[in-house]
Amino acid sequence: MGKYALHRLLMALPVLLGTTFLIYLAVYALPGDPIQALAGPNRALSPSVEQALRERFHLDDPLLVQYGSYLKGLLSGDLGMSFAGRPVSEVIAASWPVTFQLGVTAWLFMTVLGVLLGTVAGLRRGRLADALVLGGTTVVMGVPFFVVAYVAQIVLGVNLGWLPVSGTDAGWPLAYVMPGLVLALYGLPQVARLTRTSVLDNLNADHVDTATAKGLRPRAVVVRHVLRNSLIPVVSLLGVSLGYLLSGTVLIEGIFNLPGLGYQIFTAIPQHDGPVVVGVGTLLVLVFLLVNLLVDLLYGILDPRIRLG
Amino acid sequence: MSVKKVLGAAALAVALTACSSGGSGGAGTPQGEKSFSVGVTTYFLSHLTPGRSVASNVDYALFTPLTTVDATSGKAVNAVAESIETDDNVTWTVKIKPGWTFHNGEQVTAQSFADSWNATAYAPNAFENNFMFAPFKGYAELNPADGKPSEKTLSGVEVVDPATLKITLTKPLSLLPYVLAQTAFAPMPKAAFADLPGFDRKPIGNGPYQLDGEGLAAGVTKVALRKFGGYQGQAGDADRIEVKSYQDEAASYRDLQAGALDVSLVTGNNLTDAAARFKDRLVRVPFPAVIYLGFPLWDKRFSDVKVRQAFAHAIDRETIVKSLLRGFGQPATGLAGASVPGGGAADCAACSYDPAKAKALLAEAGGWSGPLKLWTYQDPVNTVVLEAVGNQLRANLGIETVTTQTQPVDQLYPNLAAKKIDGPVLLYMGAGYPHLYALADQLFTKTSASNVTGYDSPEFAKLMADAAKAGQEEAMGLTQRAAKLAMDGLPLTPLFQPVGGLAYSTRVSGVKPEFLGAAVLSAVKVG
Amino acid sequence: MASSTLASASAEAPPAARPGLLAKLRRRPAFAISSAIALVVCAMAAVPQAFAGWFGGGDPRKCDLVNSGLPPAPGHPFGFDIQGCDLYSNVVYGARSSVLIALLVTAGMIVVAVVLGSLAGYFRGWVDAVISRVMDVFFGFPALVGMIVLLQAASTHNEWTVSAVLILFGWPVLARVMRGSVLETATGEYVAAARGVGAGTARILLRHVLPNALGPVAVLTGLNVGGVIASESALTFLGVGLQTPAISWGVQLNTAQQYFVTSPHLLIFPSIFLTVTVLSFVLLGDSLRDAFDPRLRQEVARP
Repeated sequence: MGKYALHRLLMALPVLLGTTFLIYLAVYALPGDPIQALAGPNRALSPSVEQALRERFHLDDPLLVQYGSYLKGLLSGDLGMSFAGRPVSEVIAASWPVTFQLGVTAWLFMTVLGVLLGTVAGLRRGRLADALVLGGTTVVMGVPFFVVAYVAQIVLGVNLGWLPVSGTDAGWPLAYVMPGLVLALYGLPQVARLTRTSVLDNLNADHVDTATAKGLRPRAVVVRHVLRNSLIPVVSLLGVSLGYLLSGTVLIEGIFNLPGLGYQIFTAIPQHDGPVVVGVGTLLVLVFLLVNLLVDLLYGILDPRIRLG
Repeated sequence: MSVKKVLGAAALAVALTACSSGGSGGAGTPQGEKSFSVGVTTYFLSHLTPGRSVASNVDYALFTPLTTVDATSGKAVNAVAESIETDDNVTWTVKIKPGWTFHNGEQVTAQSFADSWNATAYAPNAFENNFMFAPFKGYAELNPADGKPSEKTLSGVEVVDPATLKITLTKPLSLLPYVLAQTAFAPMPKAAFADLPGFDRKPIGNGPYQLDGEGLAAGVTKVALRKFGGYQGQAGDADRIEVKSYQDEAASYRDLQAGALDVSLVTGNNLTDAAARFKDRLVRVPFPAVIYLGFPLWDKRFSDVKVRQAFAHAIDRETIVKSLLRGFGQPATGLAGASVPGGGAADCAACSYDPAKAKALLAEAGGWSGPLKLWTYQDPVNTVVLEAVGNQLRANLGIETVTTQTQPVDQLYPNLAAKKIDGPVLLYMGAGYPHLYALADQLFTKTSASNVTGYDSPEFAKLMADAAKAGQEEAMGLTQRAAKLAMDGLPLTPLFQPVGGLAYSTRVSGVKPEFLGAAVLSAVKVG
Repeated sequence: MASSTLASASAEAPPAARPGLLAKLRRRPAFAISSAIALVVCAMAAVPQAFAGWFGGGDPRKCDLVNSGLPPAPGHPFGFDIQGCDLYSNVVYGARSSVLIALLVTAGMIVVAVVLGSLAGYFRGWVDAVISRVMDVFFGFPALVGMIVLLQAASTHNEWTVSAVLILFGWPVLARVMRGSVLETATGEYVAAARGVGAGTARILLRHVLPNALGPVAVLTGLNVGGVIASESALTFLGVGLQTPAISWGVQLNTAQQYFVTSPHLLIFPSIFLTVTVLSFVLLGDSLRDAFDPRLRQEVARP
């Protein structure tokens, strides 16, 4: 397994490199003038300052030269400077805890609620609980997330006053409950549905019949035989859905005013702030790759039939 | 939403204020300390160096320039300056009041101003407010077209003695005291120049409040201000102010509703809600700005003034303000609203709603053929207003195909400069300083970067030059004549003067907008 | 469209065709209801004028600003939008963009996924390695960020550009399923048999592997359509999707959220249409999947 992990890590290198290049290319190709973006609509920078800024951020160099010097900096551990004049590493250091807490909260909600609802629905197939879970998750898929977010803010935050509306002042977990829940809705339907079908399949499987025939109590059968096996495909989905969660932080952090990585990247794009977009974007990809490697390793442990390598 | 926000923020750059959050329950707040919190747009906390900041209310809390604009009279009055004198509006002598110090105890002298101004005017520093120093003598030497500047200091700024500053301009500008009221002209202490990036994060100013704690570290959305005991002007009431930044003003308004803030700027569509919810705790703020529809004069379809008049008459400004903006705006009858000194005149003859006349004028000019495209930059309010304008033009002028195109600021403005915009464009223009002259100069002077229509009138230029040479009273009359002339030429038609709001919690009082619309932080009373 | 693909796939499948697929489907009420709704929505998209005039209004561009944001009134069952236009006819016309984008994206994603997925699954080796790594890049990269960047880069935001971007970031999901499915099919006995009688690679791929491997992709596509429609509204919300004066549910919702507190009906009616449409497509995909092959549940779910 160690060899497999090493192999996967090595494979991640070209993926990362490709990612940085693609993002760099995209930011470079953005139409519009970064200098104008920096100045805003009501300020016209003087030509001399414009020139100085272009030189400082190498905006006039060709793409490959820019990218080359970025890579060179990267090798020596320098992620570059943002347009606001702060080192990108500092930006990342300040923002990742927010995204981490948000991601973990959302992921917990998604996993716990998803598995719980899916299991209940699977065990009660065809009954009211099943219909409610299926119907509910379908509706969730259809309602635009920003509608959910605003309604949650106004109802839970403003009208009922149960949870903070925005910001990180209240700290974890309080400040992250509402954004975490909204973010979790992204992946919740898939997790619940997959758990449900998986539970159904396993309920009909031979080894469950055997266990029941042996006289094991139903609860024990469910826990020991059905659930354990049902969770295998779910684990894999949980890894992939991390991608959705990270993507969702871009929206959620904006709406809830959380200064995380998504917030930084979303502010940086209209500013053409290449170093920030590339640095933060690459970090998100790296996290995704690592988590999925872990998930695959875990998968191998859960399901001995799968051999890695 | 941040895309929109950046634009919105910039548009209202000078106007946004705060939300403050509840009680003295904040972390580490000693008992009995008066504190409140205020929300600002993210844009306000991007830079705090005078030469780089956007002249927000946070900047005015940290810095006090030579003059300040009185909110009620609209006049420039002395702040750190003891006196500002001139005979010819070119050479100015500024005397500085004694006893002012920076937050670190250093004396505020003529040199502190000269140092700050030189740093901003020096091109290689790339300070964003560099352009504001163009009227100063010696600016060209610090900003050559090519290569490194030969000088490091403005020849037009001379420190005569620690209390006297001599300013020389390249041409007369009688409104210099208004110009000097912006935080871009605030002083900087010696300590700043040892570490400029560090100063930008945690500036040492001479204002009523000083920055507490770490300042603007990367990713920070909150800074704390603490009352500066040694302040020589009107001291603030609160001991501590928490400033929170928001990407989305709507989020700050929601925080105010939820009790997590004390003062919040309210914009756009939340104003109706705020009016009902906060009643007398909502202050109406008329911005010294105008939202206008500019015509591309380089496009020959718009070269006939009758076409432009037809467009102007076809827009129902009253209904746009009443129905779409729910009354939060002032339908334009002229270029500037009454809140701008010199403004308030109904100098736009074509701004009246008259569909019949509009149709007749268009017919006289030969009618319209083909599609019409309207432009604006990304902003929620701009977008809905432009769509309404498009609907009215279609209905009232009988133009079959009217489309709208929204671009980010960084695409729209370069496209305008390159004359690549093929239709009228809806834009916001705020007065750089509180005077009609500023607005007229920005919009209609041939060389102004904000003159996007390509308007070029020697007659207008002559009136403006005369105004710059004249004394204050006479200057006002000349500026008004210039504005009327431009409005008759109609390179653009004003639509409305925007109105925003400041809402506040029951914990605070005394919330009032400064001239440019943001809440004056030092005036907010706690309890 | 998904059902016809399925039908032909099963007809051509060499091992054992699955009989009675349609009969099985017909017995499921969820299928009947959801396909009826989907049909209505598609009809709305094709001929909105036939639906828009039901209550007397009908022209989505006939607006009187005085009515801005007014609640439902006689002849205007949904009330008026912020420009004072009849909201009902606007919502009806809004189906067009959403459905068009859904169709374009689905078609595009299938083409890309089938080509790359089969190449990777059939040839394996370095072809698979390269394609899989490219998929990793797209999987791992926060899709929304990528879409925002690309759409900012596009100077026009219409159904075509939005669809292109959605395809670019959507295909790996389908391609991965396709690859897995081809991997499995290609090792089947009948493929070995075909190879044994000397069939060429192209023939094996087209005649034997693809028809059998397409099932999971086709089914997953049904589930995906709903997601595509929802994504369009998300992009519009972020200011990089369709723009006014285009009429689409995303544009309507984006405008409405600013007036949420004072004119909630602006948000409610387009939301209902959007939700019901997404729902019907998801249910449709669900029933197809269940009816088609219970085994698929695993395949489809395991990315």
